[in-house]
Amino acid sequence: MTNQYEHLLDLATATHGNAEVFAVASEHQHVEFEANRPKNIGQRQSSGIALRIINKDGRIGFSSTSDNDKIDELVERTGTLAEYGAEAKFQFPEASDYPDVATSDDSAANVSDGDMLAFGRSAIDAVLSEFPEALCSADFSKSSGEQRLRNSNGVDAEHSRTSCSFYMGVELIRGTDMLSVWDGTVLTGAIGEPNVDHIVSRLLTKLRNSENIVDAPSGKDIPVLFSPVGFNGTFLPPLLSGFNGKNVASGSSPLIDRWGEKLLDEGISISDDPLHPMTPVARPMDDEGIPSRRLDFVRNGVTGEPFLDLQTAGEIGESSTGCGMRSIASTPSPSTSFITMSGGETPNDAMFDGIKQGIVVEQLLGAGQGNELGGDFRANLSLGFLIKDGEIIGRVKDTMISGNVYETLNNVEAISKDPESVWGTRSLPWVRTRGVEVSTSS
Amino acid sequence: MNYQAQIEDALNGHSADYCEIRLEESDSTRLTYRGRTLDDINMTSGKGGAVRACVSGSWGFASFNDIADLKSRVRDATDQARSLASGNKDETTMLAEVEPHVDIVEPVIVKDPREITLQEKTKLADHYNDIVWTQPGTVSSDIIYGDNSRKVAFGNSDGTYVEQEVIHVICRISAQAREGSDVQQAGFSIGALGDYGVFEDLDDQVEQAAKRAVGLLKAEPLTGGQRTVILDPVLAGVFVHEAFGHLSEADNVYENDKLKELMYMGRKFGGKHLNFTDGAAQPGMRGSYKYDDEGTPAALTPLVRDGILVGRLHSRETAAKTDEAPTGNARAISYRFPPIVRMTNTFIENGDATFDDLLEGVEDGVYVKNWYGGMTQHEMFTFSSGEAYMIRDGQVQEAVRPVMLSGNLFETLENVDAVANDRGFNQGGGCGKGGQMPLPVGTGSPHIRIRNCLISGA
Repeated sequence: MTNQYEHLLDLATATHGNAEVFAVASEHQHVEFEANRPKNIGQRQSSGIALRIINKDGRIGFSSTSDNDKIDELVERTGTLAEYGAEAKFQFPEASDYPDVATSDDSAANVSDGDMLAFGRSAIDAVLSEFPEALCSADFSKSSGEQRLRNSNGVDAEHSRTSCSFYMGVELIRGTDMLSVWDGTVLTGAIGEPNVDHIVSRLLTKLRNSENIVDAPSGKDIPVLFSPVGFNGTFLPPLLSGFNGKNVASGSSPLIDRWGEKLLDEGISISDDPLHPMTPVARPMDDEGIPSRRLDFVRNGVTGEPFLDLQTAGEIGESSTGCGMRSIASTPSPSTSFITMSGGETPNDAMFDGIKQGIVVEQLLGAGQGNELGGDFRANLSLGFLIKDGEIIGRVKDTMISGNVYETLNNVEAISKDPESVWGTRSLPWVRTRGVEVSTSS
Repeated sequence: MNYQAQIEDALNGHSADYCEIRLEESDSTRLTYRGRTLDDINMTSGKGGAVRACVSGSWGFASFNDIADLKSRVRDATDQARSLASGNKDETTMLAEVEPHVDIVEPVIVKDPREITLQEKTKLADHYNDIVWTQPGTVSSDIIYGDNSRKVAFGNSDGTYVEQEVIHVICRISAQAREGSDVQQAGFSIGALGDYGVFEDLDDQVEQAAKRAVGLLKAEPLTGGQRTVILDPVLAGVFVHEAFGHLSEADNVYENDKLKELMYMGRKFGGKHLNFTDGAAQPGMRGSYKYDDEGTPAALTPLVRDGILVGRLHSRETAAKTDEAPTGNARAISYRFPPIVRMTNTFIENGDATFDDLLEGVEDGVYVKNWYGGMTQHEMFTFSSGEAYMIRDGQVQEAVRPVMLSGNLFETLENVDAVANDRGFNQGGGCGKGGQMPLPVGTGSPHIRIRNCLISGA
């Protein structure tokens, strides 16, 4: 890879003046369980190379390939595309010092197929011992990869990454009711027994809480409690779309001209932290060679700053916030990494206290289909519970929630003290709100 | 591309119960406009392959970009399958019989997007953008145009060798309007197999979308609850895909005895006017092909006839394990993934009613059109309209904010009480399952009416 890579940058720089080469190579190994049994085992090796140029008229050309025989064609092709390309609002950056952050751990590589099989089996056995009629599926995987970025202004940065993930789903069918719960995590290092046990225990709790199906109340004045997973699915997509540099630069974000205003409850502080070590999304720099830094989106309810890549930053006259991320086949675009939300005052186990009748939102079905840009959210509860007198008394079905993130997150009753990990890429507390519209078919 | 000799040589002497190789070359072009300007123009080429081997019912899979040493890839996938099989002693390999065949399939081409210059494509996109921006009140627009050609060579240990090429064209255009912090958007998605023409002559549709976005700022949100809804052919197509199609995929059923008991052949799901079909053998749609990614010939599979379950969608393995016939529905989005059971083109067949018949007697309902998306989790499903209008006293009236609809397989199909005779098609959709998305699919349906459908507040 190295020779072709350097040759490409030299050739592209000589032809077009300004050029950037981005290359990735990765390996992925996984074991899948279906219907309580190991079913598929597989590996994926992939590699690719992308060339981005700024031509003499200041326009961007981009092309990529996973075909080694076509690498040289990228030089001419980017030249042709640049004739029609977007006007570059940036220069490729110069080399800089990058913060030190751990993105790989040797322990991930040491997880064997045998380990994955054994962990998967023991997790499934643990669920079956309490729910013998359950059907479990699981996916255990490990990945390693490296990426290299080099440009004609002197950036030459590479880093490697490892990860290990475990996801598990459990299905229970009773009559015509089909219950489906899932959980999982991704780590930079090896997933071990304590991680698997933790996921199994969370799954068992969800299954136990779902033993009874109960009617949900409807209306707009019901306390609605979002678990960290529920908060992630409901609020983060519409909220983050307002901070996305693309929407800010195009004028469609509702936050334009509202930076520094208090738009949310003062208990809410949300940041993006690519320097949080040993998360699978940690990175010393973004995919354009800009050093990573922590961004405060919301601090005590007050809006902070958007997340920008080079182009969107140039469009609004700011500097990149180090958030230009990409796959091999696409140009960089603004993207977040490890989202953290600060905890509040209420002990986690006291979040249900004092609720006469309320709803817990855990898993959503169909979130993200509405007008997210305007802050709207709506979804069917794929897993939700009814609270009566401070206790979960059963699962609610055929129930939808809807609202607007800027209204609902101004109507916060409690935030739990200790945030919890969500899918290994978020750290979020439980949040209790009012004003979410709950609709039911009952 | 002719890989027949290379694939046959690599499969020669394999030691699995079954083994297959897929090699793929692809080229794609994508234009993205965000706001007034071109945001991204991008050409990508890809090449890679995959080997899949089955030993005693356990599968090994390997995907790669370097296709040089296929024989060792076959060995690796087989060894992995064998290692898994050693812990699965009561399993056997069961695959439905498919007669081996050798075939080269030419792509469907109506108007080849690869022969249209970038200049023409960008000029047309610029023109649509101008239409959005000349509408008073719009603040931004998004236009995505993409075309993609994918050539796949497939060979398996039964002696089948098939080469197929497909060319897809897709386009999504949306307009945004804003008043203070209220942002509304409206748009549409379309697609076609081998036809650049689908991207042409969209002036009226673009103008309507821009007007709708502005109009939505004034539209009232609905209160959530149950209502009578009438779905246009586009949204009804998404409905049949979500509400019924996914549970027709036999990989949900074949190892799940409880679900098999619920989804038995002959079970009644609704009235006699319900007739659903899926099939890649329907020519010229985005879910159409001659052979699936296991080399099985495409079919048209009746799923529901007169309200009764009569069929489901299969890979070779699910067909063998349920003792049903293979239907040619094993699809992989690319060489990076194994084929899994997927829909192709999914239809609601025409009924007898007219659109006016459906409106008649609806005193307080909603007419929902167009789509944002949809999702299924077993018997529960949701789908979202891109447009919504009040119906009062049998008349379609003012626009309201688009809504999300929710249902349950065992109740909602019973509540479909009328099916019109005006079937229309949509090919702008992409389906996601098992991490593989967007898979090209088509839908077709007439207008349908659903009583007591749960809709969200907006």
